[in-house]
Amino acid sequence: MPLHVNSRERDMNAKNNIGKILNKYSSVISLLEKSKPGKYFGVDDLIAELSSLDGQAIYRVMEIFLDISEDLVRISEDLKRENEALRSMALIDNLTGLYNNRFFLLQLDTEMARTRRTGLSCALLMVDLDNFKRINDTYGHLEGDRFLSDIGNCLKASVRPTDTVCRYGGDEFTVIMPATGYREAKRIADRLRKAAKLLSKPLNLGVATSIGVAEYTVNRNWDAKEFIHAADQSMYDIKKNRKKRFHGQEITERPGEAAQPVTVEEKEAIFGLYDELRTEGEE
Amino acid sequence: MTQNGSQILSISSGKGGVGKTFITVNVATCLAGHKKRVLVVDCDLGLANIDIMIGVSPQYTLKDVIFDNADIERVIIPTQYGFHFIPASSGVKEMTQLLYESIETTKTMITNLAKNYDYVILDTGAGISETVLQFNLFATKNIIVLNRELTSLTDAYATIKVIYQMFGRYAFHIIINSVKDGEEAKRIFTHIDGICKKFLGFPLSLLGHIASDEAVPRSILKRQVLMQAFPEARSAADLARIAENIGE
Repeated sequence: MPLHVNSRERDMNAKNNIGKILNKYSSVISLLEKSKPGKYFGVDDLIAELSSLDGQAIYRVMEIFLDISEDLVRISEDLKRENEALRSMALIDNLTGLYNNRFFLLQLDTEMARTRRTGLSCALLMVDLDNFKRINDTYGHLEGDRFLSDIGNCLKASVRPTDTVCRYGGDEFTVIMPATGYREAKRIADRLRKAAKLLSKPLNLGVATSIGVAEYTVNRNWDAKEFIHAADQSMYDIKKNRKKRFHGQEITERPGEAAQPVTVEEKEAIFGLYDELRTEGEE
Repeated sequence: MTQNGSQILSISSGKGGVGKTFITVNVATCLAGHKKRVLVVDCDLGLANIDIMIGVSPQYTLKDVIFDNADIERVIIPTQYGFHFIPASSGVKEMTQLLYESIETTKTMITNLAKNYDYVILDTGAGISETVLQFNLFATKNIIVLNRELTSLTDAYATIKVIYQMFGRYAFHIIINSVKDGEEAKRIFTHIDGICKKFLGFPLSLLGHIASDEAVPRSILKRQVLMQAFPEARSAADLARIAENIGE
């Protein structure tokens, strides 16, 4: 079966195939139908009908079913093969709707080749969410998935039209930036970080983004793996530094900064105890 | 437990004046009395006062180690109560704002020392400064001290909440100080435990309580450890029970 058929066409084809086989044995079918006019056969009905037929007819009906089932097996195998082919061709990440890792690797090769041809450098961002697990732990996996999807959309909306945002896996995203130098990439990274912060801040779980930046130039003798590694390394350095920054202005940058203060409800619960203790003391 | 089997306990409270230092030195004395090797570190880096409470005047403090590279072994003071003690300085502003690196250095030094001891007790300062939080993260067991004052309850809860939110720690051992009796302690504990379960989703564990009696202020005035000055006092028995629970 050709790969380009859509699922509706595929269903039609399957029905036609079965129809063709049934036509060949139309006399037997009509025999069956005659005994129960205007009704479809359920399995029970069919057994009842079969037991009322003579040996020859039963044999022919069996033949029909064997034929159909053989055909069904063939069709389902075709479908399975086709699905696999489609899946391996899939370049879109299900959850976020962004390009997936597979596409990312293909595209990175393309852009690195473009750099070698044009001499224009290419930048790569590695975006990692800090403390993402807390969302899953606090609000459940559905909410975690939704957050990933939101972050995906947010990144996509914050990059330039020529940039490609991909989901690298888990809570990691990548952005390929053709014809972009290190400084410009840093600037965009900062924009992404701020945009993502708007999403993560209301959760109050200390979720933040660490964004690594790497630049590929013609005179760097890197392959794709080394390029990714450089962006990864930059991301880890940022993560490490963030943990080190404790003082003055920098304190607002810390992932733990978004820790929730003691809420009014919590305070009231504590006050409740205090009132209880006080009245006991007065007694 | 650390790698070599020693326990590092942090004692915090959020609010000041709840009895952290008092509990630290008395529990340390009890454990030392049970032939345990105990090291007390004054981690109240800005306003240290264990030295005052046990009546020693240290020549070197943690400050010399952190800022002047003094050898930490030289700072350790063996006390008459059987435990060893690393003093900190009082009134040195720089110490309250330790850089991440300095905190890490201190932690590494304590880790190296810990192998010589069964228990290392970190008496952290009041408040929830980065230093306090970092020492809590460093400890293998987090002890929170509170009393029946409203502000103490609120601050203890806030401390627990911050440590939980920052580091994901959720095992806290509560000591309730200056209560009438065990009944009252239990009531306060049940309530704060309920609040924790309700809002943070985990229970607390009660390490013990200390009855408020005459012996406590008198021992402090005498600049002596209660366990030695008034070993017959009810509060001394309470402290011994806490030390036992820690040992378990």
